[in-house]
Amino acid sequence: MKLLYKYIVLLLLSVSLFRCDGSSNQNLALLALAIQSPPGIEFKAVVGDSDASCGGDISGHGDSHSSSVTIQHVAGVMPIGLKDLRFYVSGFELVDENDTIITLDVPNTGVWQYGGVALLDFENGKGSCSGTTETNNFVQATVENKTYKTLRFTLGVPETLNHIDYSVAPSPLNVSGLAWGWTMGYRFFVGEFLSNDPATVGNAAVLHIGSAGCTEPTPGNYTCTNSNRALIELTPVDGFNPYTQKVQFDLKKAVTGWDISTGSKSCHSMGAMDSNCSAVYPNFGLDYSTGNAGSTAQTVFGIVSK
Amino acid sequence: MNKTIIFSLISFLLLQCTQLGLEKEKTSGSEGILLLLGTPSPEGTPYIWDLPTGFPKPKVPNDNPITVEKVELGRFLFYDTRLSENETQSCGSCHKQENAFTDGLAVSVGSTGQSHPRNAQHLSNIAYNVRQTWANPLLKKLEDQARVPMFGDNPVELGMKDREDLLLERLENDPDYVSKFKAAFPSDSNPLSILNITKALSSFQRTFISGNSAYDRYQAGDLSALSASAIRGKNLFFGERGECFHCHGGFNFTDTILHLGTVFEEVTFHNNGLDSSRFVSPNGGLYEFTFQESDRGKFRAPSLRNVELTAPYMHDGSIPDLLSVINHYTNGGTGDGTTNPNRDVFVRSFSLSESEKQDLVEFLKSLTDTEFTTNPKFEDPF
Repeated sequence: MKLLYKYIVLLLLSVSLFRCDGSSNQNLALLALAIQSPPGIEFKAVVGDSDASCGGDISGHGDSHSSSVTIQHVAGVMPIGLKDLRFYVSGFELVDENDTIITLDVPNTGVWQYGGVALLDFENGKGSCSGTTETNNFVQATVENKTYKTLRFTLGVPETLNHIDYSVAPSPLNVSGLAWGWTMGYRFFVGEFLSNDPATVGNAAVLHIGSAGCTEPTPGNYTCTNSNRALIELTPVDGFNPYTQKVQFDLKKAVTGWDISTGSKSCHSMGAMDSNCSAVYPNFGLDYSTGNAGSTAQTVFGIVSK
Repeated sequence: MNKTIIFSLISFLLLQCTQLGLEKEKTSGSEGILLLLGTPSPEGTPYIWDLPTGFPKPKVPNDNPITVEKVELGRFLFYDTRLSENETQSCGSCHKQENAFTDGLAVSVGSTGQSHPRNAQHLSNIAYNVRQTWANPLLKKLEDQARVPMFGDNPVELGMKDREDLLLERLENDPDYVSKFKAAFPSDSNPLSILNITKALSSFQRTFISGNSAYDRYQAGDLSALSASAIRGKNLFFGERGECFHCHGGFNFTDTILHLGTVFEEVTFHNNGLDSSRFVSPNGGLYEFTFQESDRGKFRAPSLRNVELTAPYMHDGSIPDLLSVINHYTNGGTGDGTTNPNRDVFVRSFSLSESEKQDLVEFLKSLTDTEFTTNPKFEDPF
């Protein structure tokens, strides 16, 4: 019984830490961490060598000036300001040392998780960021403190939930910045930033990924020709332990192939009408013409130490 | 002891998360679901349609029965600049009553100065629309369409994306709105919500019934209502030479109608022979949704009610006046549009004399309904 109480206290501490902004009570955070890490998958967002965060210049992510360098989204030293970085993840699986596939239970938490879908939110609405104040970098799920061979997840909202009415949907499927009212669906991924370089100030990169080519053949039944759901599979050489490692998303790698030093670039996943998408979709392992995953290896997600 | 700790932690959690906008929205959302599942008690005073002769009763979504209170609330919301983030624009900024609720611009400009790719819809008789907007096959209900200008960012119109809390806060701080929402949604324990904003806006817009033009009076037996020229134009319009009526027929002068008696929803989009340069991104028409090249340049035939007031014409406002539109059609299209394989079969060249074209213009002008454009029930209440 006593043990049960301890467990509940731990659980509540974890929930209080990771459910909301988490910055409200550092002592409590330290206390919880001292006792035990919460079960789940932690995420981190970077732009090259820098953290992806709001409110200031992000620099140090560019390649040095040299003609041999593949053009990145920015010239070598262009400082950028983050505008938005949020995405839905779902369909989590782990593969253990015996090649057993474990489908993770991602419980409904009332805020960041619903129906097996979690919203990761790396912008806090401050500075150049235009979204909401709340942030989330954690997917609560039952995982063991051990090394797995592989982590898999989908970047997106499953089709079964993709066309629900977001104005009556449970959180986190009710956020206007992630809803795509025009297609009665969701944006799976939203990444936006601005150049803060005086020479190109205001040039923007806008990348929105969501299912497209959607029609409604019979009332309430939608069909989309291009799923545009990236299937992320991470198999580090030394395996993945969710207690000591986390998943890193690199916005710089996401927009590799774009150069905003000469003008803004945007992709809204609207098919052939939206020609800038084809340069960056492969970074996610997606074929833009079909919307299918797996034709190329994704480069945007990786595993790093906590 | 343990119980105390747990209790305080739970309290802390609750306190912490009620500050979340996400959470706040969730509350209203779950009630919305309950409303949809349960049988809502009658809400407010049923709105009595005052329909012109020959107009069928509009079909109203089951989850948003139209009431006097919702219409009244919707009128305030429609004209309220607090619905845009920078408080410079309302729905009424691009949908002006004197223009039958369009704005007279080729393409509209949003609250942050961004140009829209398309021409603002006029809103005469939109209660009968099977689909909203120029070519979106997915936006069936006005309730769904309302979220596009409110929250869309490509282009930014009202610019309220991620600002639901700000919007709700603005309205909650206005006692008039608090009582209006309560009156409009009496069975809702949380009446002030984004969903209910869209429901009220839609209710107000469904009352935009226009059916008292000179043409309607003529049809009702007042033979002096139309000039001889307009009558000649009417015969051209409905005749086999013009064939205008195929896409612009019926009481609402369009080919897709939804009303209480509708059994089979017919949804049609047409390529009307504009030059292919008019159908490039982001104006692909139905193609934008189906990705089928055969759908490129297909748009909804708008109602021609009040067409004299809704210039410039076409999805991109590229044709300035009625005579130019008639010339476009007598030519069987414009530019390479005359040979576009997607061109609708009824768009083909035919000859009209200059005076016949003038007659047709006169007839189109007879669809103007000044009672509609001056009706105080639709006016800005602020």
